[in-house]
Amino acid sequence: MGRGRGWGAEPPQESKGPNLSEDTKDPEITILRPQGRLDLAGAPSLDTLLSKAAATHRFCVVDLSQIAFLASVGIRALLHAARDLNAKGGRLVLSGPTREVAKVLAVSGVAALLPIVPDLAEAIRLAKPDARETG
Amino acid sequence: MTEKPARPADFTLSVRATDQDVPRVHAWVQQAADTIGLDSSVVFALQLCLEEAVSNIARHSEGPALPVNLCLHAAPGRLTLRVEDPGRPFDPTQIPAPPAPRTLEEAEIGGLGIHLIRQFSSGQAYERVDGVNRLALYFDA
Repeated sequence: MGRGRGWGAEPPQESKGPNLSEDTKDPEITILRPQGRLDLAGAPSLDTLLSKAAATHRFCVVDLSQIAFLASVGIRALLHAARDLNAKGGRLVLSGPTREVAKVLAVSGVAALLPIVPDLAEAIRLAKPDARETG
Repeated sequence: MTEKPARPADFTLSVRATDQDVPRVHAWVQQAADTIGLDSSVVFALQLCLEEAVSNIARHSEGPALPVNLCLHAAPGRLTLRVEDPGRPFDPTQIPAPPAPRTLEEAEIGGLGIHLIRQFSSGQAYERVDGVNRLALYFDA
């Protein structure tokens, strides 16, 4: 089972879903920084946190810079959250996707529906113009 | 170090068409990639296409989870991924591309998996042989 060359710190079969964190000093905005893989194993964790975030906030930034893999199940989680936030006058903004994740977002049409920017600070400005990153 | 396979190599795996087996599929792809030396972008494409293909089989089948046989054939410059299941006939290559959503409200996930397979592989072929769905996906490597 030697695995000298991987492209992640952990082999995929050990993935237990993304680690998630929030910065919530502004009561209306939340920043999620998932890590790992948004696949069938990992996306449900983000879906749960996004649902919680959308229930308690109007503006949400998901920093994708530490996401190594995105499949349709992860796209579904992002779109559901974006709809919930839009319905209450809020917004979901994505930041920092890696090249392959950005390609998934582009070909799936998500890039035409949600703001996606390279930089987290810019994403926070887009999500809620008067917010400041406080983390 | 990344080395292209100098000689053809085959890797096989048998799983069940359940979401729970997909991590095994990803691990199998990574092991094959480590053995033959594939770029991370190719690994990404293989894993994405397999996750979507296996979860599609799970979604379109009834009863107990179907057995799915996977074979990755690596030749210089070209990879062929074969996905076989004994479920009811289902030709994903005939599924039309989903319309590009104009609004979040319009966006539907149905058909997205097959769309991603088309975008991340260089070719697709389907045949039904002896009661088995045979999907072949091709990748440049």
